[in-house]
Amino acid sequence: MTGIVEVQALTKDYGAARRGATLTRAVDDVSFSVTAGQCFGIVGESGSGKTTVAKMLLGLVRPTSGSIRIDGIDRQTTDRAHRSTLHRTIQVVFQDPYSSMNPRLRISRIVGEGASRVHPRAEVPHEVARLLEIVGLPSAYGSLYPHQLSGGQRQRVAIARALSVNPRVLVADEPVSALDVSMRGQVLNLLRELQQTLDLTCLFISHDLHVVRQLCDEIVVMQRGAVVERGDPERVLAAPAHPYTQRLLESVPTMPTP
Amino acid sequence: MSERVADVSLPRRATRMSLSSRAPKALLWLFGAAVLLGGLTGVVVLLTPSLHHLYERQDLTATFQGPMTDGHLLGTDNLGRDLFWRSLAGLGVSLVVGVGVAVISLAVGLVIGILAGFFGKVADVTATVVVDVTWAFPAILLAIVLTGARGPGLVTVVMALALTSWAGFARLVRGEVLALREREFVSAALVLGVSKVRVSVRHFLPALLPLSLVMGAFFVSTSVAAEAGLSFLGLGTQPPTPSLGSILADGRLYLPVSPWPIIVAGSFLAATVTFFNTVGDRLRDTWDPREVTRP
Amino acid sequence: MTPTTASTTDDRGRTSSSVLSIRNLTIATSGRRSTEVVSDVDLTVAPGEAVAIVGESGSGKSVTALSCLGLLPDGLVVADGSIDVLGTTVVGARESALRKIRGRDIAMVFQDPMTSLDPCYTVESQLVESVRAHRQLSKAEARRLAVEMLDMVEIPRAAERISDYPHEFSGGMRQRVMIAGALILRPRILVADEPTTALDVTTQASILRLVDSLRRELGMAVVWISHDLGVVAEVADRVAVMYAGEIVESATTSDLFAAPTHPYTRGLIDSATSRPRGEPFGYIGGKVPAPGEWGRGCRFAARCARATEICAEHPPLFSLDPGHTHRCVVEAEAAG
Repeated sequence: MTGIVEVQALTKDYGAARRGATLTRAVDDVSFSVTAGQCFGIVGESGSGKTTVAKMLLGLVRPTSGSIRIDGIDRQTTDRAHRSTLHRTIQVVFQDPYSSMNPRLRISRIVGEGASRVHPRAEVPHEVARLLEIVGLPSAYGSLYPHQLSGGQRQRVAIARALSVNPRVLVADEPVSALDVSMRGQVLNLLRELQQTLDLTCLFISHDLHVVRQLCDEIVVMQRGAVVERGDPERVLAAPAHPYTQRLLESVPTMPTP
Repeated sequence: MSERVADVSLPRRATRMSLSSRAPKALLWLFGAAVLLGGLTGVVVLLTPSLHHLYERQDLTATFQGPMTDGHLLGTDNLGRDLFWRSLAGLGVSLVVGVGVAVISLAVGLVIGILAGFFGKVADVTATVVVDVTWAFPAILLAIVLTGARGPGLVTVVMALALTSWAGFARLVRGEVLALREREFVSAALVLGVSKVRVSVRHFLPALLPLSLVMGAFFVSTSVAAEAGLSFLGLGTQPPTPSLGSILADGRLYLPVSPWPIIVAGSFLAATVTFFNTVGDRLRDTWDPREVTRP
Repeated sequence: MTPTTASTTDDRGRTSSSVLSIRNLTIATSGRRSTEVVSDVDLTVAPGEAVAIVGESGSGKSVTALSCLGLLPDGLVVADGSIDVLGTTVVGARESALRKIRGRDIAMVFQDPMTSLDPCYTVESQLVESVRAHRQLSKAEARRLAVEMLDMVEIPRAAERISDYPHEFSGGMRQRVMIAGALILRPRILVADEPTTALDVTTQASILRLVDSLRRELGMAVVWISHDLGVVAEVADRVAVMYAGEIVESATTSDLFAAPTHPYTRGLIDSATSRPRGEPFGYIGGKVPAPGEWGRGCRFAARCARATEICAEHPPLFSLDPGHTHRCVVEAEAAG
């Protein structure tokens, strides 16, 4: 069975443009397959290449080599119709709820930017209200500006924007690390709920092993651009096979359980 | 962490002539009202042939009059023409040139800067070469070349100044766009399939507005001064259309007889340049990123 | 490691054996319409003790920490209360007196090392400068001290790397350099304001261990400022939980996690608790009220599932056990 996201031998080098410049391999021969409807975790620290993988999946960065197929379509396709399908298939929620929204636009326009691509203009306001409702925000928030919202509310808006084109795959790149601890749960619960009700496939990128265990069906652990371990998160965390995973697990500060 | 809302590093003062930031606002308003009203009147007079007599009528019996004589508010020149109306018309010419140059420079600078910063390597390299060459080209030289090619005149002046002044602005725009395109809201729009042109219009232009307004004010002030310089050299507007520069040039010949043409036209020029510099400085102070905090 | 706590915290910590003592500290914005950002904070730190102030953004924890060094940002003033650092009164002290205690008695490390390291100077010149500002040492002696300190914070090849510029160090190493700079005069108190928040977990773990071992080695007290209960659990003897400008619960670390009492503390712990796959994540609904929106009653009441009418009045600090205080009326009444 092939997955909805198929990544084969993906590699990305930076700094090759100038002669004599040293080559940095940000992503090194990464392969994985994500089954539709799954929540797939990519775990790693900064410099592990996890965000570069996400950017390549989203078409924001061009791979040096390797292939990405999303719902059967080659990510590097030049076919207009296929590219447009890709835009509607895979969407993203970024880490920073402050820089992921144009501070000059109202929420309704931010969410409407995507909605207007799949709905006739007249239906967009209605669609925006529906999307806000889906993520648990009153539709009156449409007339606010991003800075009037809390970090958690902004992340909800970011999710609404991502959902505006009815995607099948949602990439969430550290979606709660910039939020206060007490706010994170709500956003994570929302992500899971949406994943189930909308039959979304979720690529959850995180450095937080605990969150990943609670949320994901399958994970890959990345270190210095390469996948060092993969499998069921419960299994990986209970018995990490790779020394790096072990070190990562030992480093996570944990609260004593009463 | 402070959000760089505008993401602009605005240029420092273009020329030194500017009201201090401590000068009262009322003075600036008064100054601005006088300059703009005077300039507009000048433009109206220039565009209405039946009013041309105001600054064209010669009276060789009343040359080199001082101010407040015989119905001449600010006196007359070597041909007995009214200095007030001539300077007002000259101011009109200056403003037309200034605004024209500013609008063209901003438009060209924005387009080229965004192309260079957002539309791929080929566009960037091409634009950078064009910008560098343009930037190195002196306005005077271009004005002489253009005058030779298509004769002197208002359009020649505007073209010469606009074609040499947009390049620096385009560089600033490119720098801002390079920073803006890394913002996640731009990535989010691209992932949604929004076209690069649309991203530029929706997300870049509003963010570049403060920088553009500040530069616009400086473009007006520098090109007003430059137009006067070109006209002084005879490369600008041609007689009988007056210009502050040509009034100064004529006045210089008769300086021993009467200082008034130089004083009047000089004051008009200084006031205009100072006003637009002050506007630019004030706008820049308002939008300087170091002062901008998260809303 | 909780030996000193009992003797220092009873009777709201009024003992003489403290290196840092904060009394009724209230910080407000300056100007005519002043708004409180920190209200009535009491905290005592014993020699060699590790105390953590935990709170989310807007809780006032960082401002409280800054005030201990007399480093309040412009626009904020101590409106009431006192801060005592090893016998020196910080509130109202002259800048010259503050400069004397900073570095020597009390030092601070920040979340972003670049804010306290000048990118234009080498590490050596910055460390040497701070030594010589306080002690009459030759440049060579100061340099030797600096290398020794860099060694102590486990920077490899310290003698060579000392002549590098801050940007030539990685994030974790830079944080070590900053810690070396803070500790070079062997202060009795180190205030660590989220020093590991910007770092990776593996780097964070090594920095936490490093500071904690230096604490024991040098016998200094450490005040940890953090939003992360896991970090706090690993390094602190005692925890003060701050919410909306005030301490809502204070206890030894083991007591706090064994018997969290204030609903906010419980919610915070619940939010950070890892559960098996598929279970919902814990969270606290609503949002932290901004300064000026705290109201008269319990500041957490609007987000609290247990809130009743009695929460409309501002709760005092209730004492649960020796050394365990909290600010919840409902809990206090339930306990009798």
